[in-house]
Amino acid sequence: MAKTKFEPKIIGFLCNWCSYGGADLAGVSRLQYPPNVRIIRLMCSGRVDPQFVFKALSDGADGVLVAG
Amino acid sequence: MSKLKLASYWAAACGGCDVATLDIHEKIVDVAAVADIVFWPIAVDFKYADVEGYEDGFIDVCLFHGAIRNSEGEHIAKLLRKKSKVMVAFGSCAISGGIPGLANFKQKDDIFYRVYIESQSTQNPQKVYPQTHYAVPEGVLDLPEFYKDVKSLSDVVDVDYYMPGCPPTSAQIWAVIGVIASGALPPKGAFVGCENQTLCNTCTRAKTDKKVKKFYQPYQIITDPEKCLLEQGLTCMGPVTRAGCSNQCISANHPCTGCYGPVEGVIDQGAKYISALASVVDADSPDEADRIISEIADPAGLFYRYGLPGSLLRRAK
Amino acid sequence: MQRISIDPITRLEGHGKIEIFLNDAGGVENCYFQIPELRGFEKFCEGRPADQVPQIVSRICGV
Repeated sequence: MAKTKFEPKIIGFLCNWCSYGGADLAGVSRLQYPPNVRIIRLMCSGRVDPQFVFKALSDGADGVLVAG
Repeated sequence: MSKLKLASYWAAACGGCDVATLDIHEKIVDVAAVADIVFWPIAVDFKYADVEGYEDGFIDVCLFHGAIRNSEGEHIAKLLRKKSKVMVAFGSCAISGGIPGLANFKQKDDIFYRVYIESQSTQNPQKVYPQTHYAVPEGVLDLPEFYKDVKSLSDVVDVDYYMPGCPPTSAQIWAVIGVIASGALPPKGAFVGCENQTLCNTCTRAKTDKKVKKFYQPYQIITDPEKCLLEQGLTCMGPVTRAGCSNQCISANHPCTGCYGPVEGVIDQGAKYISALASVVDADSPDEADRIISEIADPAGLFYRYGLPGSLLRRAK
Repeated sequence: MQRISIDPITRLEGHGKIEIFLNDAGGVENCYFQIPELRGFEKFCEGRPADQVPQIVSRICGV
């Protein structure tokens, strides 16, 4: 069996008004981006609690992206 | 009505919870009036074999202190669970690993090396480590297996109630014994002998504008007894710690160290405290924020003083 | 050979176990005292600030 390439799972906590809007616009503009980022929309990146980051990592995420 | 059958046990504990129980002083006579003690190693002489001989569910309430550090702790926890109708995780160690849980910052091999080889008070020229089975001329001796990680009680058995504190205060213990004796038990999974609000909420010190430019260790500063300790630059865990301890430390001008654990809804006390600190640090630039935060000595050991095994932090695989 | 296990030793702080082996005459052939407990304060106090160590080591024995 061929070795599968490591594909990281990244949880993205994105602000509704900027980075989430950007990800949305990418779709509308038909720009492709890798599916490794699993997006969770927040109304503001200030909503991110360190617990979210810890929980994501302890549940198996390889990385966490907070954008806002 | 038959008397309540009460058991109490310590796994990886210090006995402080037992002593806090005994600190109800002469009221222990009232306990004896309503309850028969059927197992309590610190106070009465029952053996493991006696407990094994009890029918399942024979014990009404088991107060379990201590973290699960080795196979004996797990074995006795399972035995007592089988024999008890109600299992109470009593004290920080049983709930979330407590002080012995700090060992999860270290490796098992390093702990053994330090304790049995390196320590200045150890004489062990043959470099012998404890063995789980050891043959002597008369037979085989057994010792429990020391686990890689400290666990909490709920990691190994089903727990009915949680009673936080390091140790829980005697007044709270007495109140909880009263509830148990009355039979009006709270819903399963409840935290008893404490409040569901933060210590901060019950603190009477004046809180004004939380802006911290510099963190201190307790010996570096003489604090104002009227003002919020966190505002004065001490890492008081009050914002993320459950109330119910009668505010003993903060009344003595010492910042809260977090022994009552997090309030309901918080799954990681340390992470929540990082959040609390982030909101009080008064920095104008990332560099300044780094400088202020770097003044906190041993943050992991401080934020997870009583709850590392119960937190979200795990060893890197 | 008869074996008597005293497990646990009670009414003291901590954990202890005694294994006594009796010979055929009923006398004590040998006796082993075991401590089935280790928490590792010696190791996990390392690296902690000095002013916090008294708070930690006071949990070695609360009796």
